[in-house]
Amino acid sequence: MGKKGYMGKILRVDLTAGSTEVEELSDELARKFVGANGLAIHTLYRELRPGIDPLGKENKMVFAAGPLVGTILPFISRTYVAAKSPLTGLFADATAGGFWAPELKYAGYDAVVIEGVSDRPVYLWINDGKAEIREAGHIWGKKTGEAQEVIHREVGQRRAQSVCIGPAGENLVRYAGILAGVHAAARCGLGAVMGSKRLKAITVKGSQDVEVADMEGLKEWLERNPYARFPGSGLDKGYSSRGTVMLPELFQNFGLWGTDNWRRETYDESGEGLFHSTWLKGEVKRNSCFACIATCPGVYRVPDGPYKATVTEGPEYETVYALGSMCLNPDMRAVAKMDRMCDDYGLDTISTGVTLAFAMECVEKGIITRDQLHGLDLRFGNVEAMVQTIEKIALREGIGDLLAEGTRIAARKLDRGAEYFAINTKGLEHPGHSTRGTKGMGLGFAVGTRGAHHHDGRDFEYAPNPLIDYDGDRERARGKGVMQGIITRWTAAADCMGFCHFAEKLYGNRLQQEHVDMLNLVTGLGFTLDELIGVGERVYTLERLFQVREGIDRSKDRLPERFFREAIPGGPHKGAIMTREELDLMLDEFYESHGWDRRGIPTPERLKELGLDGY
Amino acid sequence: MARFVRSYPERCTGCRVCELACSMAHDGVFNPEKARITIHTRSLERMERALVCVHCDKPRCMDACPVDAISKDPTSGLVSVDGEACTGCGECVEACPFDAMKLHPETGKAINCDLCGGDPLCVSYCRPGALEFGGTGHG
Ligand code: SF4
Ligand code: SF4
Ligand code: SF4
Repeated sequence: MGKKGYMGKILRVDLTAGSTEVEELSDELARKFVGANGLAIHTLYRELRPGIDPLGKENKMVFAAGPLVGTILPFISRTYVAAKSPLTGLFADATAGGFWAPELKYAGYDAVVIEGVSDRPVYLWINDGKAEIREAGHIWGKKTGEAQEVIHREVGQRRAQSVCIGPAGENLVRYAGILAGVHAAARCGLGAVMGSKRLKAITVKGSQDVEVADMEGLKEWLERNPYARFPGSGLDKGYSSRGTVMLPELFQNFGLWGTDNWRRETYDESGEGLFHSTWLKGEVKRNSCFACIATCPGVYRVPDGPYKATVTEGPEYETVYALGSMCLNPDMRAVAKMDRMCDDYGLDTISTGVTLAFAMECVEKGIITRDQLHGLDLRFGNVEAMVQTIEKIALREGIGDLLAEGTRIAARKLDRGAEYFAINTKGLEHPGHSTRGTKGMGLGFAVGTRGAHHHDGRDFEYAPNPLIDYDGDRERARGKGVMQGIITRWTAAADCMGFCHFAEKLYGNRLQQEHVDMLNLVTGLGFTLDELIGVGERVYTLERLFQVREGIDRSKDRLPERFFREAIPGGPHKGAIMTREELDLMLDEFYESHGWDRRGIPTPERLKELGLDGY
Repeated sequence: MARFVRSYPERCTGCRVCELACSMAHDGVFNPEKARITIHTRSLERMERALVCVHCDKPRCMDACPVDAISKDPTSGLVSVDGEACTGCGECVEACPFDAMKLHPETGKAINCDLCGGDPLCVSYCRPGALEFGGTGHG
């Protein structure tokens, strides 16, 4: 095979039959879909019938590493996972930083496709090309950290890497995540899909080469690019070096910090307890993901108080928002404790926090009653009750069983107007970015493949940005559809190659010649910029086609009612609200920029242009 | 007295760029198992340490080698493996107290840090400054 960067192989595992099989990754597929995200949507679109149960035996999972992963290029090490989501009922993907994806390649594969359901707990051990399905009865029920350590001892490889679920995934919590080391592919409940298959972990280790097409060119490029550009690029300041815990203070100052279940966007009275300066009191060290020059992950040790000595990597901004300001918990030490719990149990911190905030508001309104709580005093700011509830969610005990369903299903079951307090879009709980104050992000949530996710569309509205034709007017709707069109082509293509989205700090959030250069130096496939933009477009559109097949159209590209009915009550963006007209305007722009019709459905002509006819 | 690549664990972020730079320089590929420097991680939260040859004054790897394939240069102090003579028995790997010697996964021969001929690539690629070229006197 001519192409480099790739290992050229996909491992297919049938858990029902207990068999494995190796497939070739063809040049044609690589050209059309590049890898990871592209490979996943290509596979799942063709192999998953519409309407299947995400937690049933028909669902399939794709674990993948993009073609650039495993090389020295920084910002490119994402562990990519996709399946039909039990939270949204749609195609969903989640990615984790860390070390698993490069190790998968050294073990000989670009991707692993998991099919069927095992009749007993198992884990998959991939060692230099050889794959083995092993018993996992003795680690079923164990938390993610311990389970990984046991497996690594068992396979006798201290440098093995695992993706693993905790009790939450085993108990089919709809927002259970997958942990790679301590990095989470958290969103959309893919951990529950693993749990439904009784697959505890996939452990990989190898010693195979990742080759690149033009090593001399790559070395020259490295001299000129990331390493040389690091100083002065902004990477040595801000959240790329200090972590996303820099952001709470920034967003408080902008007045765009989700607080009190989004009744407010400032946490004036006690937000300081969640600022970077507070976090620093427990900072142990800074970490990097594989091959990365940024140091956004940091290790934090709770310095004092009831959770003293709890150690966690993070918490990241989203966790500080979801388990902090959203629940009116101003204590970084408690956030760290719950962050660690979520990692251990294998829960998505965003959905966990937003679901807790939902429950608290329902308690406040009398929708969740005393009887349902069994003595839990679940009100805003009660940290101890939050800690207890998280455990109940992971184990599906008491009220935790209801909350394990996520805000959308829980609200339906509770009825009595609970839906209004459920801050999700298409079932996915909102991350900590403003819908009302940054209209483009609002649109991003409304149309996002995964629902309310900040990694389909991105939040780029804090400062003017000529690269995406943005002048700095956050609250204005006009133009934002076109802007998110540009961004989604980039996020989709970046997910195919294996990029962390924080690479946008260096290469911008629009596909550019630099992305193409990296891809070509590694693969030798000679892509042009137009071709790569076409890949982003093709992948994003095929994802949409999957969702359309499951019943998504314009009428479902909506947002929680709160953002239409209540304006931001105070702070710099006081008065900002989303209107239906604004959302409609942005939807029109966005659909048009992707060549979809007014109902948000890709046109047959467009599919033909993208080589997707026959899909 | 030999110079060697000194590591400062408190600055190491565990990025493993040093491993990648090393295999890039010596084998023209990316493969941490071919690198002559290894990042050892102690826990999932990642307390790491670089394992790399310090070119000992009295190299135990050299004493352990049954076919005298390892030698120490009297002038530069560099400890190196003669790839022709090495049988890949792994005695040196066992003997090294610093876990700095390993067997190349393809050739099966012992490999250790050769200081890149005097300009260590891992040091120049280590962005956090956790590696430095210097230091003398070990073991
Ligand atoms: S390059 Fe430096 S910071 Fe990165 S792992 Fe190696 S020694 Fe540590
Ligand atoms: S390989 Fe180990 S024992 Fe031999 S010189 Fe290097 S550090 Fe010393
Ligand atoms: S100095 Fe050169 S040979 Fe030694 S570990 Fe560093 S890169 Fe490898």
